[in-house]
Amino acid sequence: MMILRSLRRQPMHGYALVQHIKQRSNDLLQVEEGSLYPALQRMLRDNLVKAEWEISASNRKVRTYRITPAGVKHLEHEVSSFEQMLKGINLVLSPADS
Amino acid sequence: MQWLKQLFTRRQIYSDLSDEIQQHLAEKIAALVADGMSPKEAAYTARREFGNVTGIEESGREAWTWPRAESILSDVKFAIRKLKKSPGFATTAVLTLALGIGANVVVSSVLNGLILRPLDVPEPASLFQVVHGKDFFNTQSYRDYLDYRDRDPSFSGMLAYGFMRAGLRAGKTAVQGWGHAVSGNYFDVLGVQPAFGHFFHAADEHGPASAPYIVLSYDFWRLHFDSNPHVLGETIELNQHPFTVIGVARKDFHGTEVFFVADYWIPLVNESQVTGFEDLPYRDHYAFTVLGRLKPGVTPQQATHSLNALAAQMAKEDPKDDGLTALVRKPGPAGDEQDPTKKALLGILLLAILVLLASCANLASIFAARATDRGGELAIRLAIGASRWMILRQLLTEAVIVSIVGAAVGPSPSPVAFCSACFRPGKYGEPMSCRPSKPAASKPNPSNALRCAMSCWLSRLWSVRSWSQPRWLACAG
Repeated sequence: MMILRSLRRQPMHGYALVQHIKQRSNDLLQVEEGSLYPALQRMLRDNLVKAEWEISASNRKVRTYRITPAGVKHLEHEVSSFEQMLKGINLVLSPADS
Repeated sequence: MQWLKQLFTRRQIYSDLSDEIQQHLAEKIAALVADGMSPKEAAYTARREFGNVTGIEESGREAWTWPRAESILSDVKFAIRKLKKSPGFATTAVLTLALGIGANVVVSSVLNGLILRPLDVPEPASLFQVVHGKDFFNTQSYRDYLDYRDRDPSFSGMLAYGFMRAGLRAGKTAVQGWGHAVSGNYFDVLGVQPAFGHFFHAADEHGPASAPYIVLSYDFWRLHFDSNPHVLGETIELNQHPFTVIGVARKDFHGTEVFFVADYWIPLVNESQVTGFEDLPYRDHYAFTVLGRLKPGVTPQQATHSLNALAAQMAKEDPKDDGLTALVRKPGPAGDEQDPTKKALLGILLLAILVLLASCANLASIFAARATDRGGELAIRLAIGASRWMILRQLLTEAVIVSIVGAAVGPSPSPVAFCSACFRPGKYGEPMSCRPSKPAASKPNPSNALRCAMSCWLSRLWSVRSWSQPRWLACAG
């Protein structure tokens, strides 16, 4: 979900994705760098993202990922589910009236 | 078709993933060096934070694989390698299995060809034979046949035929031929069609020697008339009596006998003209096989009752029919409980099944002995992380491969055995055959081989299961 959300903001390559998630979460989330790539491969397989080799601003050959329309739809569904779950958890954790 | 695309682009996908990870590490190292770390320390830190590169690449690749299918494929490859390394064991196992399967395929194919398979005529299920009820005498007199045919309401049609041998001469060619003298409605009741020309009908019969027509079998026409399409209208002499060829039967029609292939068919009313025997006028001259098509909704039991009532009436009318009874049953050995061929075949089938069981037991012992020899190898596999299920699956894969090869090898000599057993001339030179018209009769039945292979595989499963108690664990420990 975080990967798709980041890619929806802008296309990125793997290393940039890790940095982006760290920064956006104020270093609260420590992404395991290695675990990113199997997740990206599954998304590629499911056609949620697509990847192309490009030259980065630092003149490096990088593989840039872009979210696909199917990925956008999947992200919206996942966000909606997550919000529902969070709402439920909040209700359970909130102080009881009685 | 996505999976097909994945299959062919997989190598590129893996290469991209590997390159990408290396780029990631290079970028991370550059960033760490830029922050003041030494290149060596930066490389170490980058790798540590990234994790096991090989493991991550493997995890990434798993997204593009079918783990179960590929593990089965690797089991098959490994099993083939192991069997190749032990040619003696593989040959023994395959031959053991092939022997059991081959014997069963031959016997069950013969059984199928002779007994289980219905006659090669349209709607064989409604065709029944009329035999004597008390003594199970299979043939009827022509006069009784006429009464059954004309006075019994159970059948939509009833035919009769007898066997005959005659010398045939066409032009300068003279051969001895076996055929059927048949009632005029024979082909109509059976519902068969000629390859070309036409068949004779009941309306062609107008008393003794009134229908000098002959229909040739396809094989006889091909063999003795060189497949001459102008044979129609030609005159053939049967024991020096002229008959006109009016048709040739289809290639797959050889009559309604299991062991007899007819060369020709002539009308019954002309039989005595050829053979010199007066079969037709006598009620106690049981020379003809009678088949009838039951009307829809009539059971053989009902038809038997009806015929017996008629037989009692006929006995009152003619003392020669005194004690006459009738039974309606399936034609050929299929319906004859006393048929010696059927009894012999069932006995041989039982023996063949015993041979197969012995082969399976033998095979199970061979496999169990081999598995014991491989105890060290299996213990190492367990020690480095293989589960018991993986080991079991590997051994069963080997058994399946041996079973498949055995099933393929087993039936291969059976057509020879089958043909040599079934295609030979009879006592009087008559063309004996096991109805070779359909491949099912003359060729081994693959489903039988598969069933046999499955039974052997199951016996192997049993042997592995009984053997696979925690002995390996003891070895591994």
